[in-house]
Amino acid sequence: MPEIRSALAAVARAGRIGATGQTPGIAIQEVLGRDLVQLSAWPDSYAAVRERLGAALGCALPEDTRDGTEGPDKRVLLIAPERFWIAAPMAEGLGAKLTGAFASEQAVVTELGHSRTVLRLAGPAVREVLAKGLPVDLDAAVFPAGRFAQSAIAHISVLVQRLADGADGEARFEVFVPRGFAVTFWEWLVEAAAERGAEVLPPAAA
Amino acid sequence: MSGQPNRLPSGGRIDRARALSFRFDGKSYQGQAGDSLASALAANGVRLLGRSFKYHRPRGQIAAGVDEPNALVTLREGARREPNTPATVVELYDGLVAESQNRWPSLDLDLASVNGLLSPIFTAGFYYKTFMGPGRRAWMLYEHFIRRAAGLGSATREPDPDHYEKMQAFCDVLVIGGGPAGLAAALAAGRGGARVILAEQEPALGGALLDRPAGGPGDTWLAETTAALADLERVRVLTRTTAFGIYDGNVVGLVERLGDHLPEPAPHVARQRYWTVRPQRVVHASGALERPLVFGNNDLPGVMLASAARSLLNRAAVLPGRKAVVFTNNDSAYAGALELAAAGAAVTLVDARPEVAEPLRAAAEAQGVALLPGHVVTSAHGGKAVTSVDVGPYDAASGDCPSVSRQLPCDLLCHSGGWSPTVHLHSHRGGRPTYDAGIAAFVPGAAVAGQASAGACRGSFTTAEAVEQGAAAGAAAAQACGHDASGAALAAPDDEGAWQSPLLPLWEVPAPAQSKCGKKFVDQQNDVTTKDIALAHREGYVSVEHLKRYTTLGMATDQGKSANVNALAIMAALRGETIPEVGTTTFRPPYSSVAIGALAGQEVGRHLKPIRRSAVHDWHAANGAVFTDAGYWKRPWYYPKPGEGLDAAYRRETAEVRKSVGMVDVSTLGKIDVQGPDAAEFLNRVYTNGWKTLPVGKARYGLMLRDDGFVMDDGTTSRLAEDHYFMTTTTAQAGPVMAYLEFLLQTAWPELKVQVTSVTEQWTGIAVSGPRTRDMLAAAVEDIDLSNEAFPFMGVRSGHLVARFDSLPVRLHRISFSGELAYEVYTQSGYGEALWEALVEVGKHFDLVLYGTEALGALRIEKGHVAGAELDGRTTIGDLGLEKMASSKKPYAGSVLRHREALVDPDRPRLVGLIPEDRDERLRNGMILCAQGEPATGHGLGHITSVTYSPALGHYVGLGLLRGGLEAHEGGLVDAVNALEDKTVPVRVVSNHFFDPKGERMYA
Repeated sequence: MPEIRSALAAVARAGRIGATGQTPGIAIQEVLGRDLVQLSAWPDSYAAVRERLGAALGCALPEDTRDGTEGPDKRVLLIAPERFWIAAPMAEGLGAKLTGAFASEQAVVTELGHSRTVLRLAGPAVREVLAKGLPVDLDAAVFPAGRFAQSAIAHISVLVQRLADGADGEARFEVFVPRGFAVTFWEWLVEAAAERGAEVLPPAAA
Repeated sequence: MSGQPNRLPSGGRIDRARALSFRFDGKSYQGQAGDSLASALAANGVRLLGRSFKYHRPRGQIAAGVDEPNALVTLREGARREPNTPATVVELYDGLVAESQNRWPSLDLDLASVNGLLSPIFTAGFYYKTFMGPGRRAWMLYEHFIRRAAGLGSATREPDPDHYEKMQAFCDVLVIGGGPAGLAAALAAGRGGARVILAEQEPALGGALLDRPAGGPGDTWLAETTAALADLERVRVLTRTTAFGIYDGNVVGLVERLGDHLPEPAPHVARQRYWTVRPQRVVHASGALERPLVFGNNDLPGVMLASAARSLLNRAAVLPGRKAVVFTNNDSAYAGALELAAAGAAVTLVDARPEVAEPLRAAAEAQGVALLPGHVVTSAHGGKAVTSVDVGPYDAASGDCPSVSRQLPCDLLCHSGGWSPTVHLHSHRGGRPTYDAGIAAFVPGAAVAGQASAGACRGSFTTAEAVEQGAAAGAAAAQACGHDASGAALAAPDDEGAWQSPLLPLWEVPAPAQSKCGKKFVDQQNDVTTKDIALAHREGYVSVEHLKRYTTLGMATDQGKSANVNALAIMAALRGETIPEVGTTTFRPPYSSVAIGALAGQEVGRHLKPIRRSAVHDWHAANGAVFTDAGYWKRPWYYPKPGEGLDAAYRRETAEVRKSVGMVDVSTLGKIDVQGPDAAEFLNRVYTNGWKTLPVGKARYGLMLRDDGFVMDDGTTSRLAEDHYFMTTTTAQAGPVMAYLEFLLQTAWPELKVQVTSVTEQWTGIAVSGPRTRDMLAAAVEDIDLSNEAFPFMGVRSGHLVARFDSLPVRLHRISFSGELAYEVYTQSGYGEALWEALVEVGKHFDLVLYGTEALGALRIEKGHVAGAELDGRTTIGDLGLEKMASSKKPYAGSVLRHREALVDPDRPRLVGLIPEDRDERLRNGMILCAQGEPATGHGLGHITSVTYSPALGHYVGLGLLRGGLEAHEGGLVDAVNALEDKTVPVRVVSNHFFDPKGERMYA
């Protein structure tokens, strides 16, 4: 398979940014090569599609349009009524599989894996850094793991999802940014993160 | 402490170990850490801090906080220069530089103070009457000079070197104010488990407790309460943070000053942070502001509010005068008067009330304070500072002072007219203040939903009341958010502030006949006197809102915090009405000044708007492209060779495309995935032309109208599979078209099973065009037959690049915008740059030229294709000569309203081609088209929409919209007028298809 190029190639460099001499407030890591497949059912086919999709993916599906679920190698987000986003490793070829699995009378599939730059943010200051741009309450008590918000940061539409806390107990989030705005978002992010210090990690494979 | 003559040897809350140097008007001084600029200057005996706005009268410190009207200074130098900052709220730092304002040549000798002699002229409404009378010409002439003469400070013109940022916050309870009431509210809510934010505008918590002598029971309570708050994980305390406004839904704006108390902000830290807080409940605990009394020369330096003197004494250990007169109509001034006496000042207390409660009288006697009950200060006297005051007996019943009975020498006059609760934020969302005659002040009326007030800001002035009300409000707010707050009582340190005898309302102090009484200022910042209010009254101003605008009372940086109630009362007296009948002006945000920088936050410079980049952007940049803006996108405009400018580059690029092959990044086109069993039906309703017959593997050009009948956008849509289409839009209309399609599906046709998804970001598009395109792509692509037979015009085929380019997946659409043999080559955007590089590599053997948007435009104008300049939202399908695109066999969006009378008027401007009659002339976009020889007036007959130099034809060509179109003008001459350059170019009206009108090259 050809190599997927990062939209951040010109700006992202592994290393420390901003305030130094302390534990970085936030770690930033691009997730590269993750597929994102949209599957949309119709009101009259939704129930049946849910059932078949859950079986095909081998994981529970979210009930609420703000929630995501996680299965082996997969993440499912219900981003609108009857509309799922499924994230999976690119190599799985999920888009083609699902296109073949559903007739258009049941559901239609759109491949979006190249359309978003995904950044994983973790650390003690992650909520504070995001709060500099995101008008959404990310407090652990009201924004549980799996929950996501579709909103805007610095005029850029983003999807922000909370992941399960890391092994070290630190909060972890992922931000999906339209690829064309990735550099602008990056510039915003590193400025917002500088106060508490950031560690940029090399990109992770999906 | 050397060189600080007014600094007391002990007491206060300053750090005596940390001396700080600063300069004021070029002279060096020393202060201490914990000083404000005002207190440091007071410690040094500097009392003259500025000149007044209109009369240039000498002015000093009046208040102790944000209500300060006079002591406005310009802070810092160079790019950080900041005018109009009250010295009372500036925290002293080492190296601080400040300048006084509104004086020339110096503060001490201000020549414009002669304005005081002309004061009969500078009355209320002066500007309006004198300069803005009939016609505005006079004002235009004088405004510049008036603004210079009557100005405040001036801002720097250099870019701000600091950065600002925003913060979004959510909580259960936001407490505004960190005095006893606010601390109690935060503690009660926090102990109940609520998420709390406490915002305090000063650097330290405590509020009025800090105005007491250090080391008392108030300090013990403060330390304990602050520690208890720090233990609560869900309570966040923000100091140096002003809640400046409350908006719909109780959204509150705060500004946190992170770097204002430092020479420059700490590394990586913003100077100020603008918070948007969305609390469920708001508790106001913003205290009260002391109100001045209005007597003659009440603006002399050395005349200040009693609370300001007390603050100087107990916070900064500054003795503001050695011979003090304290003038009051209420009990609150007594504590400060006694403390001044204890600190060594000789104090005379002038109380307008005939009787003084026994405990106060006894305390005054014990402290050696001379007491004059039933007297008032009618006027102060002095040059650049107060030296004496006139005192006379006061008859409360008649409100008269028959004579000046004595003159008291003094160097300090403190006064108190009572306290005005800070009801500003309560009012921001429409909460009405109501008048409380008991304290002669406005208090919050019915609470705004989700808000409550506690302590002095609701007119309860004792510490015990503040703590009790704060705790109750905090607990109630937490309960309202679903927390189990018990509301357990909190112990208060004491009952300071309790009044033993009522306040005697006193507004304008009467001046005895024959006495020498100076001007009585009501609003010192705007130099509004009692006479100005009287004049406004005589001239018929009835509403307080009109009074405000006519006299400028209550405007500028302090927003009349100390002036408003006095002005209302004086107005009420003149009208013979009560204060509630006169009413109050409306308080609007901001409560105190907010820097524009804080409001802008990060959104300056490169963050003013986001930049959108195609997947090939970095390659374009590295290879010398000059970019242009297309909405948020950066697009290559042209790729100059050494020495080339725009004109030379795009003409070369255009010519070479027609000669060999060229390539342009078209990733910015809007791309929409349209899928579902009803997709064909949907397209058939959206586009003006028919879509039901389009076979899989083919593309079609389509035009869509808004539902009002005007053209919305054009583009091609390709059928990829039975129920799967790939739509493209223009770059500019991508967002609006996507929103329009969603709108139609959700409202007009919810029964259609169609999903639309923006895939603009998913795909990189590259247009390859020119006679050698087929040869070049044949060398790049492995598994697509490019022959005209196998892959005809408007065909769509998928395949891969050859193996040495990693077999990149590609999809080819044989679509032409340039009029040449052309293909749009798509790949997924993670491969976009690799595709571009591969085509560049192959193109080396085919004289490939890279071209930008300028050549793209030139090629389409030569072909007469319409684009954004013609699809401007005002043109109809007929105007564009595309009537044949409008199906008569089916309805579609806009098909009814496009037949409106004005839209089918044959005299509408319609698309034509234009050629300069003198082929060497240049055409310009926007030229007005007029009948030959007619004067160019109004909109003429139309205008030129697009122009280019046509290398193929060797001269300029233009597209234009001309009344009557070709039918009326073909072959004729009209004038193209450029009014900006006063230039007229005769142009020949021709078909818009300038080049290869039959399209033979495209079908080749």
